[in-house]
Amino acid sequence: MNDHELDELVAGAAVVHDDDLRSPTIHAAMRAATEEIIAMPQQTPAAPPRVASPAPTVTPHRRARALLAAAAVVALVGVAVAVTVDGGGDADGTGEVVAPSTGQTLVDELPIDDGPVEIDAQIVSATREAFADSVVQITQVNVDGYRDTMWSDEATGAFRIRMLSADGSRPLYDSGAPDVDSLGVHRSVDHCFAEYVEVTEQIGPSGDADEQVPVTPFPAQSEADRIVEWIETGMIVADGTELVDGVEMLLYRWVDEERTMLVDPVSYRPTTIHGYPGTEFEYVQTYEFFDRTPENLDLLSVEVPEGFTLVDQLRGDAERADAGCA
Amino acid sequence: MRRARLRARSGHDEREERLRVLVDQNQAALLGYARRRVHDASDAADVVCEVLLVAWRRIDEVPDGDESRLWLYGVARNVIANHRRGVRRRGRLADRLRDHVMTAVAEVPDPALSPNVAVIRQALAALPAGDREILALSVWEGLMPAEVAAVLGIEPGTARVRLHRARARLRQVLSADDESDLKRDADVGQVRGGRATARPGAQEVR
Repeated sequence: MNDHELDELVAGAAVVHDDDLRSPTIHAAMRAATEEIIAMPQQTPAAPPRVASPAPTVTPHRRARALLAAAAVVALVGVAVAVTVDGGGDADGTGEVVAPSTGQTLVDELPIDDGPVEIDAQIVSATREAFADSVVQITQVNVDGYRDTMWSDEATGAFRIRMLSADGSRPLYDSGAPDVDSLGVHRSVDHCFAEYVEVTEQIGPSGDADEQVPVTPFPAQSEADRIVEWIETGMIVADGTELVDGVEMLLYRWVDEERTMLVDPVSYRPTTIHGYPGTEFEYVQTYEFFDRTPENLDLLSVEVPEGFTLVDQLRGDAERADAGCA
Repeated sequence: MRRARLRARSGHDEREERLRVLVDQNQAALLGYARRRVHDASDAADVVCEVLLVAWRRIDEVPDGDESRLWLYGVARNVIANHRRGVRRRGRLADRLRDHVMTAVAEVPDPALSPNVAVIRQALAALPAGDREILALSVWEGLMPAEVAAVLGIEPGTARVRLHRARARLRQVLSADDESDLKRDADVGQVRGGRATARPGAQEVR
C-alpha cells in the first residue's frame, strides 16, 4: 500500500468532513455565537507583543555582570508574579495569561539596563550571532526513544538531519547535501536498504512541485529566527533561573504551552528546550555551537557508505516498516 | 476627545468585522477539526467556544488569509490538549454561546461505520498522539508539510520526517493481512476515502 492509498483510508475514517459542515443551520449557529462573543463585556486585551530594545553591540560578557543580570530577572519576575496574583493571570478562565496593566507599568519603570528587556536583547543578539557564525548541532530526544540530530550552517545554508533507531545503535535515515558547496543537491540515504538518492531540489516553499523553484535544503525559517521570534513576540517570557550542574541558567517559559528553554547566563545562547513533560509529545532538544572549522563543516555532509546503491527512488514506508526501520 | 472616541469605536468595529469574517471563512474547518478529535459533540462545542473566545481576545494577532486557519488550528490544538488533561475552563463561558455552538456541532453527521473504517479508526487510536495528529493534519485537514509545521511549531523538514514515521507506524499497526484486505477494498471504492485532500507525492521524505 503506497502513501496515497494509506491516506485515502485515513481520510475515509474521519468522523466528519469539512464539506459536510456548510449547512445554513451551522452558519446561523456560528454567526449567532460570534455575535454573542462580540456582545460580551470587553475582555482585557492581551499584552501587545513585547519588542526588544535595539540589540546592543555584543561585548565580551563578564560572568559577574551576567549573574547580576540573571538576578535582576529573578527579582523582576517576582514583582510581576506578585502583581499578577492581584490583577492578571488566567483572568478569563481560558488558561491564557493576561498581563496585568499595573505589573507592566512597574516593569517598564525600572532601568532598562537591568531589566528583562535587556536580557532579551542580549539573547536575541547572541543567538543571531551564534547561529550565523557556527555549525549548530541540535539533538532532539523524543520520549519514545527516537533521536534526531540536525546540523545547520547559516553562513552557507547547509542543513542535515539524521534519524537514529530508538535504541540509538544505528542510523535509519540521513538527509542533506553531499557537502556544504553542493547546495541545491539533496542526498538522502536509506541505511536500512543500503540505498540512496540524489536530487536537485525543485520543490518550492509551498511544497508545490509546479513552482519549479530551486531551493536549498535549509528550512524556510531558521532556528535562530524562530528563537528570536519567540522572544520578540512574547511567546516565551523570563521565569527566573534553573540550576543545572551548578550553573544558574536563565529559564524562559512559553506563555501558553508546557515548554521551557534554558539560556546560558554567560554566552546568552540557548542550551536546552524541554517540551511537554509527562506527555506523549515530551522531548528534550539540546543546542551545541561549534566553530566553522573544516572538520565541523564536515558534519553537514551526508556520506554514502561503501556498497550503497544509487537508486531513482527510495523504498516505501511499508518495506521500511517490515524491515524494522521505521 | 469625541474624535478619539470615534476612532476607538471605529477600531472596535473593525475588530468585530474581522472576527465575523474569520468565523465565516473558517467555521467548517474549525468545527471539523474539533469534532474529529474529541469524543462527543458537547466536548467539541466546548473546544470551539474556547477557540472563538481566544480568537476574539487576540483578534489583532490573527494572521490574514489562509494562515488564519492554521492559527485557529494551533489554538484549537492547545485547547484540546488542556481539555484532555482535564483542565476544563468553560465555567465562565456564557451558556447561550455554548448553546449556539452546540447547535452547530450537533448538525455534524456521523456516517455509518463500515468495518474498514472501524479498523482504521482503531489503528489510528493505537498510534501515539503525535503520530495521529500529524496524520490528521495532513489528511483530514489537507495541510501541506509546511502548514503542518506551522500548526505544530516545528520545521517543515521535521514535519516531513514525522509524517513519514507516522505512516510507517500506522502500517505496523495494521497487520499485513488487514492491510492487503483494506487495499483491495480501497481499490474497489468500498472505503469512503475519496475526499482525501493531501498530496502524498509532495509529502515524501526526500
